[in-house]
Amino acid sequence: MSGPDENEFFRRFNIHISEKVLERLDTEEAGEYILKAVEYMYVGLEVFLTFVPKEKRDYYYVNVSLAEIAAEAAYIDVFHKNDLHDLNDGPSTTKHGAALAAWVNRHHPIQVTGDFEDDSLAFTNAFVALVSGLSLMWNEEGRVVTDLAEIVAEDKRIGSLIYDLMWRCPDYRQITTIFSLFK
Amino acid sequence: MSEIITRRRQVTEADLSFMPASQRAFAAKRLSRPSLAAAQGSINSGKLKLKPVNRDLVHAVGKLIHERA
Repeated sequence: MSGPDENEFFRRFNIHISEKVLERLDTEEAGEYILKAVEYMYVGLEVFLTFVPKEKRDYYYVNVSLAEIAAEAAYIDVFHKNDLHDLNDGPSTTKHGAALAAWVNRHHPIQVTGDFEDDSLAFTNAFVALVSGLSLMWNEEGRVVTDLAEIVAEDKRIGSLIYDLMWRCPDYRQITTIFSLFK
Repeated sequence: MSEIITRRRQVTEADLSFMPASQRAFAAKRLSRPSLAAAQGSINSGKLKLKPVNRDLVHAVGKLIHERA
């Protein structure tokens, strides 16, 4: 592929982004949300790496473009209702967390470099998505570390959530329903 | 927060040097988005709407999920 129009193929995929969405993404509020969401992905990967053997940690990194695309998509999902209704309270914390988890899981911003094989690869982005989403939700609610054991107690739903994220790729509405159980 | 921004800059500069010219233009356009620049300004001045990331909480959540999964 060469010539001036070599990106034409990729440019066509941008057709579905409306002018209104682009305007929303250019606001300072969107920028704050995106940077904050990307930071959650970084910390999520940091947490994941604590469970990975030391010699394998250098292979993982956050792809910034994918991370930002995921954060943008989450922002639009969380705030698009403001275009339809005047919600003074803003979106619920559950939706914040669910949108981030759904889009991190879908766009896979955590990538590996080089010739690297490991059984945990399929699990990585689902884990980071769940950690980022739940952390964002609980952090916005003002929860602290000591609350967590009480919230999930002997709950087995987290295991099935990881399974669903890995193999079913649920969207943010479906995750919102499940996250609301962890209040 | 400053750490993440620094790391973000490092990663993207490294990425750009390896990219083909056409993609580099696209990536540069993304990075120069006014929303991100403005947000970095407001983050530096400390007026944020979202609460700061609680690293302890994220680590605790990760540990919890690791135990349950």
